[in-house]
Amino acid sequence: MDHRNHWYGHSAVFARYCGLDPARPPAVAGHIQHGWTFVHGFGNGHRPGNGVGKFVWSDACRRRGWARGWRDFYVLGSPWAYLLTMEPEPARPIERTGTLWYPFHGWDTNDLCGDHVRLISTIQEVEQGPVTVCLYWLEYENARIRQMYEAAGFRVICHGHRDKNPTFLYGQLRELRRHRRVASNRLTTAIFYGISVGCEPAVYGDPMLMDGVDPNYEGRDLVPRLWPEMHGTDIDPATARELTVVELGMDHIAPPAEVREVFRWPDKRDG
Amino acid sequence: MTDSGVRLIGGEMLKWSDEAGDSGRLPVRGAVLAELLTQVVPSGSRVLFAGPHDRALVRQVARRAASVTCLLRSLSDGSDLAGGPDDVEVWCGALDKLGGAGDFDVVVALDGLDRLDTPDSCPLGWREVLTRLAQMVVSGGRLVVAVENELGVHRLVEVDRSEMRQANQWWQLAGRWAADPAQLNAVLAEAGLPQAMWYAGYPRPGVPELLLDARAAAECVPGSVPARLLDAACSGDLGDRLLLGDPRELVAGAVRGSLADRLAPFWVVVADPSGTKLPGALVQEGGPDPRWAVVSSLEVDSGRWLRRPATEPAVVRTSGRVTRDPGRLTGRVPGGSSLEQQLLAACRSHDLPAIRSLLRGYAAWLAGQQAGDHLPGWGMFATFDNVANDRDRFALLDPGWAWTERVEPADALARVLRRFAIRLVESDTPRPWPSSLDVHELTRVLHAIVGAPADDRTLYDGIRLEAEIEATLRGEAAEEQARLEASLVVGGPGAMLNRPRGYRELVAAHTLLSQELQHQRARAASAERQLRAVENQLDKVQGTLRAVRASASFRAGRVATMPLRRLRRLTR
Repeated sequence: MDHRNHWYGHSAVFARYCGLDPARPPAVAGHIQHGWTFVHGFGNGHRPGNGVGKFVWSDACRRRGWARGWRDFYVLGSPWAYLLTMEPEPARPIERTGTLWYPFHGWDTNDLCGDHVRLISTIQEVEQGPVTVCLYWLEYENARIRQMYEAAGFRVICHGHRDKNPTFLYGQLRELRRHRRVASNRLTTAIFYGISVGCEPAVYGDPMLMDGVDPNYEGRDLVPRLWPEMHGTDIDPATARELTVVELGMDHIAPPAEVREVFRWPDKRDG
Repeated sequence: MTDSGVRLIGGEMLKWSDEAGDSGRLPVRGAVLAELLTQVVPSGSRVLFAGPHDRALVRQVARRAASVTCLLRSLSDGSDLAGGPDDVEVWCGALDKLGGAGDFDVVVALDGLDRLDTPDSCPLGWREVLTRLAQMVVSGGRLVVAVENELGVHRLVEVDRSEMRQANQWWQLAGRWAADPAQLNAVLAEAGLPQAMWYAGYPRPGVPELLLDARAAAECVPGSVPARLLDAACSGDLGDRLLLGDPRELVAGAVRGSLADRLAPFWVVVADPSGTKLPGALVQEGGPDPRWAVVSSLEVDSGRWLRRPATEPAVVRTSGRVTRDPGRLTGRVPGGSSLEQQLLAACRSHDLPAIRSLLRGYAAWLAGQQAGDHLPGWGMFATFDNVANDRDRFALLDPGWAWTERVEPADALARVLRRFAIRLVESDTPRPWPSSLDVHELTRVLHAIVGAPADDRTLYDGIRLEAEIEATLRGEAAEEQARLEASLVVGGPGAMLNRPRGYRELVAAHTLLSQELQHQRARAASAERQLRAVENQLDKVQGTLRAVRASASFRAGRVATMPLRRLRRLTR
């Protein structure tokens, strides 16, 4: 199975949803989109061929992929959408406070060019309440970057590695539900996750630039042109929610039996 | 006059038989035309059948008419008819040899205008033939004529055109086609026979299953009763003909473009100065087999289509566990397009929420029909092509079918879902599921969507029931049922519904298969590379192991531990 299906514990979420052991999710007959994207659901260099199921979050991903010659898309919705069906808002929600801020992060293979000091200053200008900064593990493990944010008086956290971390999304969900706002310097997966659990979104600040990334996958300028309404310090919550339902595929949630069939997973009675 | 009583009028064809199919098709036939003639030919009238017609049609009219005359061009056909039990007069030869006016109350030319001339005729175009036929009608009489449309759906999907391969019947090509209804009207008006009713005929001239008021065909919108009748007429068995593509797709486009009258395979014109009221549609439902087919008249009343089976009294037919009661077809025809059309459209646009909503709505509706823990007999026949859906109001289109035994809801669902999966695969309809899913896997997915996950037993029940029903409807023996069942188990849909793939579908399937083959080759190559890498690693490990075993320290260790190993062996 494609190892990326396990990233962020996605296969584990689906296994739990299907009544299977989340600690040992079976191999998925295809590739699960692992993050929100303005392209076809799969990253640069990730090219699942035709004849292989591509389980994407939204129909837009299918359309874009289709336009570039890919087939066998199955719009299933995001694993996050499935997680929310199993982890509903607690009957007595925790009082929300402050902002959970996700600085745009580099990847394992690409560094990020940008001025963290200037970004911190912008955050301090905009955010009125306490700020929690969630760094990607790469930046979190970089003591210099981490200390910059800590020195600014922010609480600094990390959701952990995406590999071999089946509870990644659970931790993220817990954190998001504690915060009133979710913000980032780019429109990213975390913003949509936050909106889906009731956070007020904001996208502002230096979007930074990733080194050596195929311009088709960079999106720094493309995304604001495509969704101008999703950028700014105060975004209309109703508009944001409407888009989130579409982008996270919350309107495409399939019943467990259907997921099992398209993943070619065993029936839980067999398993 | 011949010995057998045939009147030879000149130009008769000696080595030719239209009844044997020498011109590429059999004489026109069918219960729909029989019903039309019942309504058009008054009792006691003098009738001329111009051109070959199925004997059953002639016989039916002869029972009520004062006299029946048949004009045939083949001498053997004419002699056969004249020497038979039917009390009809036979004229044999070419239409142009008749000359002058006739004195028939009704002239019937439902076979078309193209089998009335012979190689000995002066070439007759359609205008000339139509004019001559009109002249055979007595003042105040009627002309019932079918005209094949060059631009009909049946021609547009045709691969093998007999005229292009210079088949025998094409001794003349000029003036063969009448493709403009307005020109036909003009010819009739000039002959003093204004058309009273204009039917669009589907699916092909030789075997009509639907005659639909041409205005209704032209003006109908997707989802309306006429649009659904058109779709159903093009969904039946297409025989063994090669096709460019599925005619259903074409007729759906014709409906969207308000062209279903202009693209009708043929038109039936009833020219009748008295303006006899005729039904808005005549339709045959239940397939081509006369044991199951029911012909009904449809009328529009205050915007509603009402159906009345033509065969009175309605005789209930039963075979095996299938029964058909034509009486149940009486009443209002439900609105909305068929669930199958809606699902196929949703599949084409990959609209999964719509697919789920339609499937679950259907399953809920079916569950709501249960009496106790089982469904009524019609439940087994509530297939998607037999259920209309109008904004989540589901209704049976043809309620005449029933299962004679108790219908378990799970059985009905298993058959219905499998049938749709076959339809999807067979038609190569773009669909949101990975193309690698076969019919069985698709069926399982459909089961999962409706919330009734299927195990292997349920899937097999669906196969068994589908095979039994198909074999029963075709009147085939147990061996054929077993063959159908085996075909379904393999997942071969084509042989099941007898709908050949068109060239278009074949090209699409070829492209998809080529892509998948390319991908599978890449996967195999990748697996091969991985295997080689693992083998290399294994070689290295084995080399290391051999080196360790060959080392002095290892040998010394073996010698030192030998007593211990011997002891362990003895104690085992």
